[in-house]
Amino acid sequence: MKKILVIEDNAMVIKSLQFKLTKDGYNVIIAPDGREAMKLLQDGEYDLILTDLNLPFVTGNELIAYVKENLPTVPIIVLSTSTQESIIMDAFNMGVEDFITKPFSPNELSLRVRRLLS
Amino acid sequence: MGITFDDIANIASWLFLVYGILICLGYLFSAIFSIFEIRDYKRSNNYRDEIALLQASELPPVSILAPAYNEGLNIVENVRSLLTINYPSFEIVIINDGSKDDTMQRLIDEYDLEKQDYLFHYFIKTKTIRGVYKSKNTAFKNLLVIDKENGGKADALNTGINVCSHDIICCIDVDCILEYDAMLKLIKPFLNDRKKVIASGGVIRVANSCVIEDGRILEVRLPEKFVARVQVIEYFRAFLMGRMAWSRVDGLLLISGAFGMFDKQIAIEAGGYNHNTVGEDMELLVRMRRMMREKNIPYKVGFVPDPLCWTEVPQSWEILKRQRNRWTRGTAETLLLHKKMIFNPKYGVLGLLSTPFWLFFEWMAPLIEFSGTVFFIFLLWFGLISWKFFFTFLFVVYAFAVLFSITALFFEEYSFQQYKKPKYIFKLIGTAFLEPIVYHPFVMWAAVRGNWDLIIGKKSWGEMTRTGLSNSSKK
Amino acid sequence: MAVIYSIDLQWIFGYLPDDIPFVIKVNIMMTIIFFVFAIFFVGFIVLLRLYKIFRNRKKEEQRLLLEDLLNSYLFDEDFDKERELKKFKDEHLNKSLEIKIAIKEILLFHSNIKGESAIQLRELFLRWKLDEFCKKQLADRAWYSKSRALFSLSEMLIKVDLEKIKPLLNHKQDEVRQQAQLYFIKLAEDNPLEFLDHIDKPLTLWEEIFIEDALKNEYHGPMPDYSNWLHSLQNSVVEFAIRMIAKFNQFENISELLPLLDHPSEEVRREAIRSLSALEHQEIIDLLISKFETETNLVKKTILDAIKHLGGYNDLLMLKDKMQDNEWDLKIKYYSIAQDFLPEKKQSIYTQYEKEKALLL
Repeated sequence: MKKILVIEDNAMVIKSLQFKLTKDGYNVIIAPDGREAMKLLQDGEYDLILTDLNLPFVTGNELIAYVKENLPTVPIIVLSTSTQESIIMDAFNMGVEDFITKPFSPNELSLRVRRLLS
Repeated sequence: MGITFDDIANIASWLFLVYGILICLGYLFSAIFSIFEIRDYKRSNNYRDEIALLQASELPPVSILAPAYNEGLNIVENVRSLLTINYPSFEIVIINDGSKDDTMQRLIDEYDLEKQDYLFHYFIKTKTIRGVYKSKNTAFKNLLVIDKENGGKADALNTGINVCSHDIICCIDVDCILEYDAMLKLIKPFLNDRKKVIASGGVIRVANSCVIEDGRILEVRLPEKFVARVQVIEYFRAFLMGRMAWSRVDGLLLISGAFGMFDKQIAIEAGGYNHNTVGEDMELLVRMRRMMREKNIPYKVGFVPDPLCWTEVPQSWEILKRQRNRWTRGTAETLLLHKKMIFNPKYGVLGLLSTPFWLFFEWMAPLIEFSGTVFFIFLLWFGLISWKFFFTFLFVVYAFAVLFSITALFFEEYSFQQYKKPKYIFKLIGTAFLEPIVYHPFVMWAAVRGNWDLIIGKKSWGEMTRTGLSNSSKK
Repeated sequence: MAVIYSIDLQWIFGYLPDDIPFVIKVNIMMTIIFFVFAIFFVGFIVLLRLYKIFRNRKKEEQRLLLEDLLNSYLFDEDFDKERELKKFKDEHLNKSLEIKIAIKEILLFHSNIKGESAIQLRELFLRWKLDEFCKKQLADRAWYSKSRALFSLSEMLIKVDLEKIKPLLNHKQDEVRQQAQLYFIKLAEDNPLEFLDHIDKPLTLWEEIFIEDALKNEYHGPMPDYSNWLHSLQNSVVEFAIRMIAKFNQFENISELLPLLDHPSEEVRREAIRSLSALEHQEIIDLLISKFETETNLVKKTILDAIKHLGGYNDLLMLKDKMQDNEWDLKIKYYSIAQDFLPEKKQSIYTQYEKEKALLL
């Protein structure tokens, strides 16, 4: 079973992602903040990372930089409320695979996840 | 001469009584105004999650100015938590005020800093800047560190104002702990007013004994030490009853030095922070307001009732004494500098309400209380009043003090309810009963000493300013 | 209060011995009154605390139930919609608090989710007849009920008689006004900004942020022609329209923006410069250079920004001698833009600035 790390601080979004992605047949691990995510990343292996950018403790950008340096094969999808061009471009420049803006369509998200994992 | 000693005693008694009644009325009104303000604020909270929208919006960029003096121990962590502030566009400006420890070196090492040829101008006269540093690492691209010669907190902040690049500045104590959405909330007054907003401030809370990790409050706890616990109640009174009411009549004279936002241009025009006073935070706001009024430009000072910033308050009596001594001098100096405003109808609410209030109930209160106590003991000594009168009168004062604190506790309970555990509320009630006996005489005495120092010790100024830098957030 | 006062007076005075002087009687009485109030508040605090604990527990229970239900409803294909939803309505949507939490939770889901799932949420809102509750709230006299109702109805795209909403555009409470504005945008099929003609107070930046967001994310009709509001009597509306022309790339309105460079309001002129710059209208460079000297300090700053964005080093040079000796904020901007244009000469430009400083000070 493919393992997805979801880094997100909005409780409602966490619940829904967990529900939807579990239904889709993935093993979903949750990190509610950047620090927790760092710990999980150091201890475990993941097939995909789904992360917010505005996170407590460690920012999304720092996290992306860490993953791209240490786990270059793991694809990252950013899920963020930012629609600002500069922020989206920064993320792609750092090497993220996909950028989804909130509010998001769960069906679309599930499709994008499947595409990256196939 | 027809005036006897008895007559003087009589007149004085009546004066003290009138003063007491005025204080009670003042408190009553501030309580009433506050409760309306809190209620309206609670009601305006919608279903909508504004924070998410604001994160994604183009808000005016803010320069966050944090002076640091001998902060080597914690500076790296403090800067790290500042860098994770939740705001779409900001720069962090750390001003190293000629620290004698390794503050600067630690910053250079940790954040990969490099000296820059930075374009700046001394809009406000300050001590010399030794260098402006930026990070080579793009992850810290919004960090700016200024290394300057020592000149005190006001001078450091002015240096930050000179060098920083955005039009709105946010002055904070480097060691204070911000709520996750503090900046997004503090900017709102600047955006949502039809008048020019020159400054905005939020509510400061006591961080002692709270569980703090990586610059965030994980759990709000009541301070274990009595001294700090009393200050929790003091802050409730000051913010939930005092500031809240003043903000309703737009009469705020003080935005905490620990966390406040200002319009940079107005601050520069007003002349920046005054380094000749220990009450630089209050003095600047008063000067800015005065300037706007004299120029006849409609303006406003914003206030956000949410707790936004947590700060460590003095845990030891000795440091508390120094802090209160300083606050008194700050208040007195500010009022003296702007004595023209007091009772001056030209300044509206500020002239007729705020400054007289500060004069009589903030600056003079400890003095009047002190002389009143001495006077009554004197009367008692000469047998001019009875023990019964003396003690029953003492009880009245005590009961009123307790009632006032309990009301503040009630406001907290009604509004934000930060102290979740039931045992905390009982501890706070107990503290409210003890405060007038154990704590109040002490701070009153510290304030009296402050006035004394003001009269005799002009020379000790600079020294006090400098040593006070690390811990001079005013309530 | 008066009753308590008189009762206390009687009670205490009755029990106090007659030989106690009046002042002391008053003192004792005041002490007791203050203490009674203090104890009264202590009691109140405790009750309030108990009430809040109880209420929060109920809220949390209801919220968790809803969270599970909504997730199953949206993402679980085996979920028996008819039965489960009816069951929930019968069992958990009777009290006002329960309904309010349901509305809040659906709105929360709705704010994070779009697409098919969002439509399902709106269907659920109607199925549970939550719209009726909101319409009642809208008629409520309390402003906070009105503003919440407006928000819920607009999010769920529920139509009500617009004549009822129109007066709320000029309601005395900011929150109501703002929600009324957003209602008009979210439910408009076309011309979403028609309401701008009916507001009698200037827009604040705060309101503009929300209007822009609603236009971008929640309005789905044809984009309005923002030039319609360039001559509004409200400067704030003019500024907003200018900004939106750039945000929505309405190049066809460039010719309408140009005359605004001479508008009497400083803020309007700045906004026009910013928008023309964002629309990459290079032709304004010469015009801006010619206006520079007579402009205000703030507009000058905006012009420098525009040159940075649209022009080159030679354009910038034209402004060098047009700054006043004491306009240091402009000079700093000028030199740092020069550094951006000529990164290889960064050092020498810095020295140039330092020289100028030494010369003038």
